[in-house]
Amino acid sequence: MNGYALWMLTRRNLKIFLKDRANVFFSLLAPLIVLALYALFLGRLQEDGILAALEGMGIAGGEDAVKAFSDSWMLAGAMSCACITVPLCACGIMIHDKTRGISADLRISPVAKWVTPASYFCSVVAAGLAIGLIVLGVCFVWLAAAGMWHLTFADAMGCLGALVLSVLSSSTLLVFIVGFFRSEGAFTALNVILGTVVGFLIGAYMPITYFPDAVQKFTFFIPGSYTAGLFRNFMMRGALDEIAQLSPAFAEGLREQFSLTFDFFGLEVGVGGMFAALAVAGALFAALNVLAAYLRRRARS
Amino acid sequence: MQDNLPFSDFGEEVVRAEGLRKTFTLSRKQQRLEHTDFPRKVALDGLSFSAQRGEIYGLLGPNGAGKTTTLRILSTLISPDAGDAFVCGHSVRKEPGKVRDVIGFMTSELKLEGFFTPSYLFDFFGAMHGVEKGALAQRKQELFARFGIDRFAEVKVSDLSTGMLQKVSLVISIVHDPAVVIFDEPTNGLDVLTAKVVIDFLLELKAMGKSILLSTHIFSLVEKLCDRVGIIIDGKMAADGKLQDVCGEMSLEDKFFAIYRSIKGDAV
Repeated sequence: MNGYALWMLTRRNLKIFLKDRANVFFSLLAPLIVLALYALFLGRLQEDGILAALEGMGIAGGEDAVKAFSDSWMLAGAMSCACITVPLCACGIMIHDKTRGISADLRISPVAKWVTPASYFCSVVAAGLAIGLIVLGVCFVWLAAAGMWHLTFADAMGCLGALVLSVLSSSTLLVFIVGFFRSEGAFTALNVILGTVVGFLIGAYMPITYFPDAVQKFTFFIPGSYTAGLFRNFMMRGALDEIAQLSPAFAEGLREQFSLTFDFFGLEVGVGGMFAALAVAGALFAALNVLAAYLRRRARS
Repeated sequence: MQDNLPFSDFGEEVVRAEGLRKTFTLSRKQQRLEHTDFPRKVALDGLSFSAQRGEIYGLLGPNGAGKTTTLRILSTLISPDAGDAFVCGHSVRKEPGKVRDVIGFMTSELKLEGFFTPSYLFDFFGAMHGVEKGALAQRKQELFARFGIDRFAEVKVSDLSTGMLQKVSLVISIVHDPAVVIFDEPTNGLDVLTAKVVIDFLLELKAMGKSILLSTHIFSLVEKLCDRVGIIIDGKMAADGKLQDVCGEMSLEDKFFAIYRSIKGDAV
């Protein structure tokens, strides 16, 4: 019975999220802002800067590779934002049920107590994965249509893996945080603040290396940074390899500047480390969610 | 319809509360609102009563008397600090799952999402209560026909009238055919027409053999609906019994204030 109830509740939560078109749109606002800023000026700024640096080194050509590199960086940023903002907006159902007293109705049904919190988590993950997959599809179509597809099959699968792990990880974190909110107003404020700063914190608007050292160190403790790192690795690797054919040293410089690897207090974090960081963050916040649910139940009684 | 089965296990007493005690910690803000410096509030202070099969039992009392706390304990939403309560013979402390199986809990608040249909919501809450699909379909057909919802089964909730909406909400809360229906402030904040829908619904439930426990501070509602009444003041049962036994020759309102004065002095 509990399994079927979990399925029904998850479906219901997901339906409520998807039926609210405005909510779905706003969940994609941060990625759309990344795209808009890039289309307006960031893209040109980025390309011109890299091409000028290449010219300064006496290397001509490479326009296509640089454009592919810049576009991939922007798309990786948009994708990373979506992995955070979509689950965040999907968490709104928790507040909706709490403020309207529906949580109490669900608690007095004879399903096990873990079912309702678990359904919130499942629906947040499902919303993140469903919309994330669509956004990833759009990114792939963009790259292919513009003739900038440099991804291998392994890279594409890597993107899928990064999407799944990132959504799982950010969902555990966000469900934990939103669990403490009790009003629509407070949740909206969180949504606005996080939606605004997330693009900066994960380096979607500009590379994290442009920020002061302290801010860079702070971003190492945000799981979203590792999400962005993974997408950059898988989406930009092909374009970076082409640039490396022009100048390996220059390509290595770009890899560091655009945070394809992290220097975590002297420890170089590559793709494996990023996956591990996301998994650890997900496990940590999953444990905290279980603890918080237990403490909430005890406080209620 | 299952009509309050099985009752043979525990006789006619469908609800029995024994020495329920519950205290809440008050936040600073709550202390200001309650005009008190004490950080704890005693909501229930040894409350005991029982409700019988097939009857409507009304818990009557002023705001803050402990009515809702009692119903929340009976619904297993919160646990008592001391004492225990039994619903259809099941302890709210030891067998909360079994208690939830046999109760329907309602409030006058509407909590239905506008874009769902009554049919979807009935099925959804049926699944939450573990009602088997075939039985659920049959029950939906019966209840929707009985309360005139059948013509609106596939209409979006947002397009229904307030009265119909209230009916849908009430029917959904008995989707699992509970033996005992617990209703917190059934007509609170409702207009007269919608309040009539609720009152008629409760009478219909009684006719179906359900046992009903409701809380209210409205004298006329108790007089109209209840077979037995319990008057709660400051978390204690001040009077309990059949309506005519509690009131005697007095009206319920006069009797209530006489009891209230005897406990609280002239501070009415």
